[in-house]
Amino acid sequence: MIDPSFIKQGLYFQQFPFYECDLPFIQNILLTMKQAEMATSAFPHLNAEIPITVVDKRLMV
Amino acid sequence: MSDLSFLTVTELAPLIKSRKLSPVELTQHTLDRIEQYDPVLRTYITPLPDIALKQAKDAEASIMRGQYKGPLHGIPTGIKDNYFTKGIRTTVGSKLFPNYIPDKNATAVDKLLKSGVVMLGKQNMHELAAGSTGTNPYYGTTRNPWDLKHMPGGSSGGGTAALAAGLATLATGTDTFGSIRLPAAMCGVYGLKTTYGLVSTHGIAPTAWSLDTAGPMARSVSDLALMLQSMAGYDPKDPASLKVPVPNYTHNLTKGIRGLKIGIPTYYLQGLDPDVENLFRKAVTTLHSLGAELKEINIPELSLATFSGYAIVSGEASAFHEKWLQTHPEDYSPDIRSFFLAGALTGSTQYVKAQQARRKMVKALRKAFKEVDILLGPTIPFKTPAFSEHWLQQNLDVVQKSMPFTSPINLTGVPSLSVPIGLDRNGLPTGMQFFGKHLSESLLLQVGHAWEATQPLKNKLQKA
Repeated sequence: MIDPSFIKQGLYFQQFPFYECDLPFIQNILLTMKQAEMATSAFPHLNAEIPITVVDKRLMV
Repeated sequence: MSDLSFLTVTELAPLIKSRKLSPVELTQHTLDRIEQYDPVLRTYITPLPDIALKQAKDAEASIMRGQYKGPLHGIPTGIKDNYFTKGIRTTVGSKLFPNYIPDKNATAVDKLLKSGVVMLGKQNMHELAAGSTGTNPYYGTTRNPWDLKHMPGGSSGGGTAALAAGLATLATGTDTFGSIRLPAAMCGVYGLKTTYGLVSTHGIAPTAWSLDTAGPMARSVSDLALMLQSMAGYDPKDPASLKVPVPNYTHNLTKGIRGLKIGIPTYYLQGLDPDVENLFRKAVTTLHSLGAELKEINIPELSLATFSGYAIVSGEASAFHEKWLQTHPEDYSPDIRSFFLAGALTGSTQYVKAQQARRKMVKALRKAFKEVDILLGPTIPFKTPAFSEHWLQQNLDVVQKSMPFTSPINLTGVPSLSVPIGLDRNGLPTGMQFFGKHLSESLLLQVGHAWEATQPLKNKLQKA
């Protein structure tokens, strides 16, 4: 389970509110994400990929 | 004349064009149904009867003058409430914006109005287009017309439920991680998630910029084609808009699927509810009997989708909502607030890693499309659930279970068409999705049209 103090402090540092009732939801979402992230270990060369970002070429050229 | 409630545009347009049916009669008929059924179904947040009737009268007058605009002229259409509408409140299904009145239309709304649609109202949606059940504590929870105890899905559930109940002929949707396809599957209608950038998202409230798409929803594939014809096209106001020619989407509709190679990623066969699996297997057999060549295909990169989808949706949504989350946190439902705050707690390293995974998935799909023409899988792996009293947790559960099936399409930017495949043992619809290369909407509509001809919900469409 994700440490509640990590969540509280992380939100505090970013000036976000913390509601006790949100804690199980946030823990659950972060845990889902953490478990899903394990799939990346099957792709050792993932870091060779350039991240997809929205680039407005008309603005950048 | 047969009951107007469930006719498609393809059936209505010739009647309107030949002046056998007045857009005013059609609009009044639909408004009467909204008045009768919507207090329970809650498919509209803001019905617009006066505006709709004025637009219908204008349409009628134009047609009488011989100025018929095309098949969408005079067609009653619902607009999802995250599309900006000039002078008309746009709530995004949120308590944050109960009285927000935009000073412009979304480009897609302008295009549809130019094609002559009649705007019935602003349709209900899951809060901030960030949930998948259709529950809405602020504007009323939309109910599934097939069984009121069940959810319609979301976030475009107001539109799909209205289509299933005959409270609109067409509806607009948006799809960031399944919001067109999931409710289309749950309500037994057709929904097209378009190629990223094909339909302008200018003037549509963002959920996650790099994934947001807009698209059509309808009771038939040919209606999707007609609606997409109006919605698609380059928009200089949208930096992600594609400058590509817009083909005639109805041109290939009747070509059939003989000889078409359809791949079924094994990824999409994991964890299916037995009812969904049974209906999907039957659909595969039917597609085979129509002449398609089907085979299972391994695309391991799809396993990156859940992580990538969560990291990007929650990360981008938390960035867009940062100020409101800090100043008006009580104006969010706890599940949506938690989803966004989780994004704030996810590091930028994970966000970038998720965007790297996207490229990996795009490459994997490109490779797959050298082997097959299109891919196919269930739209969602589970049966349409009944509402739970624990609706906050239920939404997060539905998002968690659907994300692996819906988000690969958003993450890779490809188009996907969700079609009904039948009813589960509870009598609720479910669906499957065809997905293809970027800008393969014409092919998907062709395949979907062939599938629709098998009448997967024959005589079963809800008569609310």
